[in-house]
Amino acid sequence: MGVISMLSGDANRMYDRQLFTDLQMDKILSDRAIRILRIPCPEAMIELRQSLFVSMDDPQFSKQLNDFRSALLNLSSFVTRWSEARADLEKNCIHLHAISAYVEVCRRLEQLGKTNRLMKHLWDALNCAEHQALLQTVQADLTEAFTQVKAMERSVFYMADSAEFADRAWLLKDTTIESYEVRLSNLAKRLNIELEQSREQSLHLDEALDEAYAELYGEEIRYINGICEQYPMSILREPLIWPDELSFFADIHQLCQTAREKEIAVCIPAIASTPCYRAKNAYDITLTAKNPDVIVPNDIDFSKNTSFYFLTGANGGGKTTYLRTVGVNLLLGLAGCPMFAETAKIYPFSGVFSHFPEAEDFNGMGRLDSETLRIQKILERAEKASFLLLNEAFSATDEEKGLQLAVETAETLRDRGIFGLFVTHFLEVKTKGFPLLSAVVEDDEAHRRTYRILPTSGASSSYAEDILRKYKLDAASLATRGR
Amino acid sequence: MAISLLYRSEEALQTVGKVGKDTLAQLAVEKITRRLGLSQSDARYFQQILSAPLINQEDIAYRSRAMSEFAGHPDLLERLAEQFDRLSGLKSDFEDLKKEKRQLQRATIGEAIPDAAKNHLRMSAMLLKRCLVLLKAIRETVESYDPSSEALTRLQSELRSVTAEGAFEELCALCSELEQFSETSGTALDLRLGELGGIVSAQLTDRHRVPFRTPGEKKKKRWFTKNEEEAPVEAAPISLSYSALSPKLRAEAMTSLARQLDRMSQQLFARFLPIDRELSFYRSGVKYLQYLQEKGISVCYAEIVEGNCLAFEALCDPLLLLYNDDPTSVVASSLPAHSASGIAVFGSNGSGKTVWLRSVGLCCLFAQSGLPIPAKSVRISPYRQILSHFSTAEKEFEAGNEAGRFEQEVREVATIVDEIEGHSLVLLNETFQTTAYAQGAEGLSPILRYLAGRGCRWILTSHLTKLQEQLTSEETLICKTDSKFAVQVINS
Repeated sequence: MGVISMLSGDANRMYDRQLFTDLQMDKILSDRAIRILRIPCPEAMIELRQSLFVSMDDPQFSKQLNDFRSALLNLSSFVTRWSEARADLEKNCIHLHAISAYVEVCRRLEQLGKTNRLMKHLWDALNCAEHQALLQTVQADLTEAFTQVKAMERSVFYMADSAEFADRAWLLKDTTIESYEVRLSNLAKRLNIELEQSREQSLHLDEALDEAYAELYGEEIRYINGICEQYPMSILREPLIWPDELSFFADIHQLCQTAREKEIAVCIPAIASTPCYRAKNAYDITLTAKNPDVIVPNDIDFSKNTSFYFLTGANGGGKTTYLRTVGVNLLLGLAGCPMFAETAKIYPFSGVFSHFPEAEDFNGMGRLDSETLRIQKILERAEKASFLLLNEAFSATDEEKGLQLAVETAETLRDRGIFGLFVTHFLEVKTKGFPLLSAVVEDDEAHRRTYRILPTSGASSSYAEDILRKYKLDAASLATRGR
Repeated sequence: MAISLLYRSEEALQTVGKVGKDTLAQLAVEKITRRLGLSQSDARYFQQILSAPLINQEDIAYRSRAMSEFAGHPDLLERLAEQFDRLSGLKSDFEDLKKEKRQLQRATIGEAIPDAAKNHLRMSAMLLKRCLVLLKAIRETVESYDPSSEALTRLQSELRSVTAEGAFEELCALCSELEQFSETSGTALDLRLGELGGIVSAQLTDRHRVPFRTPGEKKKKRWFTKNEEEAPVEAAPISLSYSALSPKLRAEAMTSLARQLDRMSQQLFARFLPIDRELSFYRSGVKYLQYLQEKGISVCYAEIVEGNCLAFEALCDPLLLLYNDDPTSVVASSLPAHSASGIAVFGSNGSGKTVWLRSVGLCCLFAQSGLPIPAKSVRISPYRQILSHFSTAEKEFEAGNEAGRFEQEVREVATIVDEIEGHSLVLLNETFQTTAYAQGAEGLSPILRYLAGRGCRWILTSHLTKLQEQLTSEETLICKTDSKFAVQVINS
């Protein structure tokens, strides 16, 4: 019997935190979600996780899943109370409730397993023969145990007046004496006065009372102890890894819901057996954090022959957005999550890396040297069929040198079978024989941005003039200012 | 709903009529309360009740019968007022105790302390007992007068229900016992263990009812017996010096019991204390009545009828009666039953038009408040709203008011027209005389017709003689004042 994680993975191969910052995923996802996404999902688990996201779109399943989560939280609250309780009797009573909550968790998981593969996977792992035997007897055991608790419900705390017993009181077994409050309440009724019930108190037993109860109700307490020992707290605690994991699924599912509301396509990617990454009309979901009027989708097509692209084109034309579109969807897809595209197919890449411009860190190393070193380190770690996202690398040197380093890097990636996308302003890369993508602009005077990224033979300009004009830094505007 | 001497039911309280914002002032109600020598709070309450006139025949009868009964037994009213005043004093003591408890709770960060809890328990028991005893005394007061009005018989029966024989004595005895409560003679608590193994309730119990007296031999399990016949009670010892929970349990139990006693007191205060205030209205009413009676003025309670009736015989202006040393000089007027929706009163300056309008307004207001009216007879169908517009002298206009007087008047009349509901009464005193009279009349005429069309009654005093031509005799009673301040219907 054992609980397995829905989100297990190889923690030794975690993605860099910086990758998620570069792709701005921290703008749309919680730290918890990013912590989980950093751990690469085992290939075998991708489809299982995907199955849960598919099921979550079914309202009935979604409700059942919520109930399962509530049952887990209920169990969690009893486990917390149990660890806070000091008296044995109190601990045991809470333990009984924890057992009951655990049974409910099992019941709901079993039900979910009937319609979902991931849940079935969890249930099968949990429900070994020993576990089945326990579940068969637990209900009868609990009923009897709660009866024993009920038998201890009412006692009398008696403090005598005799000097002989000045420091001693007694706990007496059930009597039928009416308290003053009960008498008062009965009299109020007879006098037509409505009296609310006294509110429940919540006082923890101390050791002295606990011992007195143990002595007075020895038989009942022994029975309860026996049941608690049969279902140790170590077992009951095991499913408590799931509430947090379910929250991850809920967070991503919520993101999908938000996307759908904004008419952004969501799909479950197919898993390819040979290295490739394709998507039709893929979106950069991180843009939703800025709430733009429209998000333009683009296609993604990486395969054996086009495993690497240079991406050039107009400033403000959507190059970095496209880079994020590729990166964010890839990371989500590899984690078994839905992708934001009409259709998608991904290969379980062995790693994903990013190289975005960083501020100079003044560690004695120039920016170029620093960038080069970072790329070297990435290349040391990257295996065949990894994916590398490069944004404006080598822009800290002259164009000739930068171009040379860019091309060298591209050749290394191609030779080692590493997939990659390299956003650059070095327009001359078009002459180096690599597949090219370009940010398309309208063929008008204003060069309006279409935010479409298409395969091309190479861009001819970065259209920096438009941006300069907009901010009155173009030549004409500067001349006017001068006057 | 708490028992009320003013309102027959919750519905009566919710469905009261409305009085215009300046109407009480325009009808000089404040001058009346001043003349009666009412305290500031009594005068305020009197006006508050008048500003919410009753509109249901039975509700008015409920109040006027109580008023009549109190008028017939002013000593009963005084006695009750004095006793309810004491109840109000008890409520103040109760609030002080609650405040003290809160302060202690803050000072001890919610930790219950047995000694403080015991003192509070005693105080709570004492206050409840005093409250009960006082209610019993009030019951005896009411019973000694054998009340006949519905309001007072209801109060009597409500008092009987909370002072019912048997339970009442038992409750008082219980309070006495708790008033003397002391832990020196031992304590017993009814403990309840919750499902989660904590104590969910610790309630104080009479130790002497626990069926054992002395412990037996010191062995692990002890058996106690009360006497030979009783079954033994199983017990386990608790070392008090070892148990930090014990004092807390005791304190919590005493606090919880005190809280229940307080809730009971609170209930009783909530049920009966509103009467203290209501009595002040009756005291004011009786004072007003006595004032009139001392001057030999005969009064009546209005006959409340269905439909749209307003008729009276020998009605006098209460204000003039109260302020005039010679009440016989106050001219009474009569209005026969009629079907007209409007009454227009014309006459020379100082001939008593405004006095007449005020007396009719007060008559309606008092009738719907259950108060007696200085008249031989009054028949009235209650109005949902009593609204008024009294033309204001120029000097009373605030400086800086940019609107001209006429515009100001139009604005005020517009407010009335906006707010008006069917079956309301609108009192207009020299309205629209701040412009050319012909234009004033032309402007007012359609407004009066509109009010009539909405099923309202309007009463106008005016110098706009042109208006007479514009008002049809079927819809309007045209009246004139004469040099002897009498008002005569001239087109009946």
